[in-house]
Amino acid sequence: MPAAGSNPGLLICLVFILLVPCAAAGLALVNTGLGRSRSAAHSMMSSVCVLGVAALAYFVCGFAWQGFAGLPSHVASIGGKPWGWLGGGPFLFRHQPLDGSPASLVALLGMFSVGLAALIPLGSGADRWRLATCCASTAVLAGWTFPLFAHWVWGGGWLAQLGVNYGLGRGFVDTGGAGTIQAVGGLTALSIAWLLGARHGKYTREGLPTAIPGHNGVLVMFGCLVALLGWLGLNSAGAILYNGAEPGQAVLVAINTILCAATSALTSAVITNVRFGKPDASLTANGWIGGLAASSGACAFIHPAEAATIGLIAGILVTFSVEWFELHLAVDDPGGSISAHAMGGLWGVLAVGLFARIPAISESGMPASVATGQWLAQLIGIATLIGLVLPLTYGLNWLIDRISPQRVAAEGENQGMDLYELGAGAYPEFIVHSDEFMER
Amino acid sequence: MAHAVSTAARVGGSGVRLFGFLLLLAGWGLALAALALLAADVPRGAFVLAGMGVEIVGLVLVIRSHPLPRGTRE
Repeated sequence: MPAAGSNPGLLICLVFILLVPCAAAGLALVNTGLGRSRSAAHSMMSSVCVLGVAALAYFVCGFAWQGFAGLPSHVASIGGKPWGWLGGGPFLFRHQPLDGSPASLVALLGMFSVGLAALIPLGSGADRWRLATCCASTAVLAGWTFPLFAHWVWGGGWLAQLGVNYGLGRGFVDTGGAGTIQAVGGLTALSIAWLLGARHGKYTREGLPTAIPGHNGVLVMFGCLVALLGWLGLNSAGAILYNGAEPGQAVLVAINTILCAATSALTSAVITNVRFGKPDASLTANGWIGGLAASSGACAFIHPAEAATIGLIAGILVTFSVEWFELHLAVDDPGGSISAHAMGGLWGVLAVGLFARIPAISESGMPASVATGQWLAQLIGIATLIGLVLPLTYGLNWLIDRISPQRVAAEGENQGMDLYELGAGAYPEFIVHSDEFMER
Repeated sequence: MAHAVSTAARVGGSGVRLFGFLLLLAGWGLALAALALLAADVPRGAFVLAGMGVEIVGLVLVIRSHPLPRGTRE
């Protein structure tokens, strides 16, 4: 395969991949802004450490287990059909030329993608998740859970082969990682929220939730804008590398991405304005991120009007699910990560089956007619995320919790994560008021 | 308008949670079995949806098995 230097398409793809860290920066800002001021430095510190651990774990074993179509993998034969279960390449990027070839670009995109997925649970564990255990949890996510599912989807595994083996459209399609990055990260965020429990003072003795507003709306909104840049790169690079799109198709991908985010955020703003009399900034931000997450599924295969429809539904879904998780399921998710990433991502995966027109691949390898059965391939992917990935990520994090408790001690929560774990606050010159969220 | 979380809806503990997670895995197994055992799209789809139904039951059990947040505020 030609390297990026001799192939303009791959060079453009490399530029798109280098935009992806902006998505991570945006999410880190959103998570920090939606948390408390006394945990702000801890939140950003956790983001940096999580990105570092994710990159290392992916380098050590993650890419080897994710693999790429054409690289070695462990295959089981079920009913006479080959099922790729796990990548079988060497660890530590050995024998992998890092020269701009498609496989090397996948390795680079995977390294950034796994960091993005690992940042998602930080939103649901804000203000109470210990730095050491969130790094341990990230190592497991980046070294095992993410590569396993990514192999099935992007590494030529059994989900990707559903089309070839069982005639289900093009197999499971996930252009920019609505399932592989967003839903995997969002379901891990749900596991973390369950294992940590609610923040001190979040619920009254009668079980009523109380509002603990984010400390910096400017950080949150700026994070949304930065994240957009990263998502444009993520979806465009995914379309080229995983779906064989021409670089020129990135224009359609970018338009669909921004339309999806825009309609989702505006829907959230309108819903909260109608219900509460004023638009809610944090829910609008969640709507924006949820729209971006939903856009990642089908962005390369839909008309812009359909992208706007997907965003509209994502906005409704995210806005109401934030309330549903907090009020009815008693899940304390300060950053709205579960709603924005898990719900948005799962909707994005389903939307591929409902809206996308994906050309089938004929036996000669050339595009043929529009594929049928795509909806069923997407449903099987969703069943895998909920039925396997959720128990897997919950079980692994439960094990970490048994070895070393993931939640900070009560003293640390009262004092604030900044002072307790880092020894210094994010805003040392600010006057510290008494905590109106705590029982006196 | 805030609603109190129903304490009556919370059942069991780790046993129920484990059973819920086993149901999640069983639902996924049903979806996979549909691929291996059935050929036509419609029965396959029905089988996969049945598997997702089992997953939803498992998810409800897992949700209900988690303890309510301890109230710390009057």
